[in-house]
Amino acid sequence: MIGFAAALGWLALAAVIVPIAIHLIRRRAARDIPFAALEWLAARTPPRRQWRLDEPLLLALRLLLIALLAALLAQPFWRPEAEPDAAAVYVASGIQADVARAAVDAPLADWRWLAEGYPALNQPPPAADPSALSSLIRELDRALPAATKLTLVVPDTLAGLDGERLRIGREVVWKALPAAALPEASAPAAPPFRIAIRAESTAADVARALVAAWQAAGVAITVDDAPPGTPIAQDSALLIAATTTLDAATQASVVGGLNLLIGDPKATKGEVLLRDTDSQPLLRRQTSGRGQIYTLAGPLDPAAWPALRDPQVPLALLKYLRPAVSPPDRVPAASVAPVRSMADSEGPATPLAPWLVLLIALLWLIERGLATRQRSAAS
Amino acid sequence: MSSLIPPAIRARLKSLRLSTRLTPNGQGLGLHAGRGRGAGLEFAQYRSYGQGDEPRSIDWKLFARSDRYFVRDATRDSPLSVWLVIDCSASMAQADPERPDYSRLDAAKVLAACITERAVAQGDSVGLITVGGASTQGLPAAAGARHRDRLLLLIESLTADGRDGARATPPLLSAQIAPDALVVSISDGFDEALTASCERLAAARRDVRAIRILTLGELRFAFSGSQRFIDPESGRERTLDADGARDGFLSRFGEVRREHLRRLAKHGVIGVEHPLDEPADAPLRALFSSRASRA
Repeated sequence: MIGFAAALGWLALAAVIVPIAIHLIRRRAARDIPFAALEWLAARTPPRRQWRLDEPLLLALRLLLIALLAALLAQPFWRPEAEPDAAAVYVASGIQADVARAAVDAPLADWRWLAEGYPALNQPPPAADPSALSSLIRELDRALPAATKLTLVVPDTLAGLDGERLRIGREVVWKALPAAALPEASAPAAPPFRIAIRAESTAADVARALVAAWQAAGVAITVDDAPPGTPIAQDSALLIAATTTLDAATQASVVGGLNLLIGDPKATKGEVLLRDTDSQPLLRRQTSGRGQIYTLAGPLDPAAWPALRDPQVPLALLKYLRPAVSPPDRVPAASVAPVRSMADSEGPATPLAPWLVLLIALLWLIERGLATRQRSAAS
Repeated sequence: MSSLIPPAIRARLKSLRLSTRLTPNGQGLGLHAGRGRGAGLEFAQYRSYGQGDEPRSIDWKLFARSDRYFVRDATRDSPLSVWLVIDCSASMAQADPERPDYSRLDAAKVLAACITERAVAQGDSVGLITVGGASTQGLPAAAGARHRDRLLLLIESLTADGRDGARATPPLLSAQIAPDALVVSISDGFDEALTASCERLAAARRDVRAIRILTLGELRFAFSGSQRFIDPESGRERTLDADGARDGFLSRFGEVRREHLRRLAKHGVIGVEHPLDEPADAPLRALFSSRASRA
């Protein structure tokens, strides 16, 4: 069955008037024939207005070429005729194969694992990857012929779903079974927030006060408080430093993903994240490699920069400085059964464009050959 | 050997014999019964023996009967002088669309080469003169292989370049061509001056034969659709529907052709037409067959 992905491309058929016009206009209307007996040629037979088209074969070939080009613009594809009673059962990995066979009564169906490559069910179960489930189902919906009845066997608790509700273009039997071996409950435990402080005197006090404020707000924080120059642990998330000039090792860590909080009254670059009540910039951010450099608009000294005394500032800063924590994504399978999308899925299709291009190239060669061949003197 | 004559025609050419209705009066030995009397095989007359005659030429048997000295005279076989008159006007360059590389002038060259070959083989002298071209070219009549080669070179180099307004003054043919000569005019018949010259020459004791070369377009008018016809000499053009013009043209032009031949015949000129698809020896055979010579 041939379909067209962009049926509007057929509008290009209007271009058939071009070769017709060419053949009408460039018709060899009056060829020059030397003729000495001109005197006896009657002048009373004026040339007839002819609507005869010269070179009908060439014209037909050109019309065919235009039609094929229009077809190419319409993006034709070939979709094999689907067997009407085909059925397929896809079992999510994590469910035992015999449990799934017992739960679904479809002996003639095509049983496969819902996993990368869709291996047959009699093969060993592939490794479970909960986050791939949604995209596997969407891909399956596109790859299966439209008439195939699809049954999906999934664990009764799903994880790793993305934000979009599953929408597929066919009716699907959504069978939730207790998972044989549920993946270990990976509750989103926030990683400990490791903060390194490399500052002295007042700046160090300010840094400690900030950390204390964040800890008071309930954030689990591990502090590595040391004089400047001490190496920083690899898994630190934030470095609070007093100086604006960083040594090479610290710069390398920032590029490698470490966030940095400094105070620099002269800073002018970077995206302004926070402003004070007078709309003056309070916090700027600059990206350096994988890490971010957060710059406070004043020195880490409450005497020199009173904005630090504002009790709102530590929590406002925390919002930006703390690494993001993903929310829990466990959901009962019954509540996320795929909904029917607006457009029916139509099954796999083979684009015919390459063959069409070949055919067009071949016809074009023939057309060139016909158009430039030595015209016989008689014609 | 000239490359002008196709081999098939050259093979048939052997049997062609140029002949004249007049009695040539040239010097030397030839194949044509001349007017001169002298040594020869054909008996002409008896005349009385006079001073200067060789005694061995006296017919002694007649002396025995009549007791007077008679000398037996024979007709002397004389060479013929053949003149080719070739039309070089631009209309001679006309060819058929079916065969664009074979114009009237090409056919005329083949005819002229055939006549030259035959005439030289017969020991006749051949001359050439062109009319209607941008310049008048020619060679005086002479015999021999070297003259033949010169002549063939000249024939090969001829071009049909005589347009209206760029035409050489027509040569006075009767001044160039001696009486009793055989004149073969090869033209397309559109040159009125040439036809008139032929008639005058025929009236002034030259054996004139005219070959009119016709293109297939003029004979059959196998054109169709809208065509632009251009007169190569005047440059006038006429665009018309060939299908509608065919019948009228064929009847009118056929009448013109017949009238042309009638007019030539009336003045004692033997005329033939030579369509371009005919082998070149056909018109020559028609001109020099014994029936044509008797006419």
